[in-house]
Amino acid sequence: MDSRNFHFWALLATKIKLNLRSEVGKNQLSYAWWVLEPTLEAAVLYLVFGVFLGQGTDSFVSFLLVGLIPWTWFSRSVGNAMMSLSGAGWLLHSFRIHPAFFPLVVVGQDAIKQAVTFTFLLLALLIFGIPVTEQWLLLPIAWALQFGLVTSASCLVASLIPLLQDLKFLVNTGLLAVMFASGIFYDAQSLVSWQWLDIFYLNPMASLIQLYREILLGSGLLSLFHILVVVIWIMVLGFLSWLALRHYKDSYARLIEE
Amino acid sequence: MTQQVLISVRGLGLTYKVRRSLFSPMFVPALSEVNFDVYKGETLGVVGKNGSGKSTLLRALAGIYKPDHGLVRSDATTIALMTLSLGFDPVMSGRDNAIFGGMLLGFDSEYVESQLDEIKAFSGIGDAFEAPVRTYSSGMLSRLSFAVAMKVSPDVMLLDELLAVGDESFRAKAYEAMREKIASDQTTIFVSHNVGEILALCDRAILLHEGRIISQGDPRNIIARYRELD
Repeated sequence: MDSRNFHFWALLATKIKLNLRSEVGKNQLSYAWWVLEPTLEAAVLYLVFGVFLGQGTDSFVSFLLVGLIPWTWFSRSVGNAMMSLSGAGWLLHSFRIHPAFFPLVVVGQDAIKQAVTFTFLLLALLIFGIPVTEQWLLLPIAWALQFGLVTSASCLVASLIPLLQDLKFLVNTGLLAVMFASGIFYDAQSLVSWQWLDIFYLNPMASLIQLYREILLGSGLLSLFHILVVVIWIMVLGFLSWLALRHYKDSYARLIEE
Repeated sequence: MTQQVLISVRGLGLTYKVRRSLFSPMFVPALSEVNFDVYKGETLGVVGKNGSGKSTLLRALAGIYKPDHGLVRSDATTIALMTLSLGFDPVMSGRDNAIFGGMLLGFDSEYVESQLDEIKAFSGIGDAFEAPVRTYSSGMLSRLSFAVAMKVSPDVMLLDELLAVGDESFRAKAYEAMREKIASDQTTIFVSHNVGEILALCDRAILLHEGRIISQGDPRNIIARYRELD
């Protein structure tokens, strides 16, 4: 690794650390929000699906949390990364800095927060009486796959939006569509008709959430198909963002307003 | 004595594309056919009216803007552009911004952290150093930027109106610090509207007008020509 590369990663690590520190200083409940936020979201969904629609069992709450927490990570990171490069004119006009820096700061910052949230998830599952199995040891696989998916999707949207601002509306609509088609609050295995199931799981978040449920809730053995779907999406999105960032690397400073 | 050329600029041209609508972009030329050399250890002044292309030129030299025509050839390892806001993040404290700003200028975090006490002392902003920079006045912001910039020594230092800082007493202190730095064989390119500073600090100067160099050489002759442009 040459010194310029090394400096890039050191700068990235420093910026993530400083951002987390200032975020904590800004909010009175600081770190507690990282757990309070998914708890509140889960409470709302529980009220709708568990109470109003009469699915109020502990196993449903666990099912909901295992879908909701990974989804929140994905949507929040992609949403935050979306304008990260477009909004970085103040730095891009003063320093020579690789454009990937901006979405990567968002991805890194969110991944650290998610490590805390996932610890909360495991504790919640224990409280709801979900048995701890050997499958839980496979959690880092799903986590690493999600980190890869979040990184490649975030870099792609961040690299394209300065070229075409209108794309942000499409990203927001796309995120909403992916949310409804990911099986966060319903069990796809029993609700989606079997001839559409494979197509349904081509959605990387649907496959990923299914993987989390297989690992944490023991809903079957780890499926190679789901892993493959996520890996292919990571490679495709990663390749496209690499192409965009490489091609426009020297143009962003002049494309983005100060 | 032959002087070593550190940066060589040949046929440099740069155009801004302003998007008015999807299919009709407007092109605004910022620099055209710019040719000059920068010698090791010299202080080169860049003068010109507003919109003459001075800041664009510094950004092209720093590698921030890629030229549309011509080339910028450089033998310098580190070229740092120093402006009045050093990429400060409003929600971070002065201390954290100083660390990040120093790193953006190319220095490692250990070095910058070891300089923090001196940066704080030089800036003279006291306890505000620990407060978020969104609470700073513009004078305090420029004091902090200047204090960080003075603590680093890149091969080539590009200064964009950096001496227009703070109140009169701080400006005198900043001017003195800058004079010492320039005297220590630092290669510096210096944009300023202050004619006195150009005459006192620069070995040579170039005059930019509508994106072209219309004169270069002795600062006294350049300033005389600059005044004729009024």
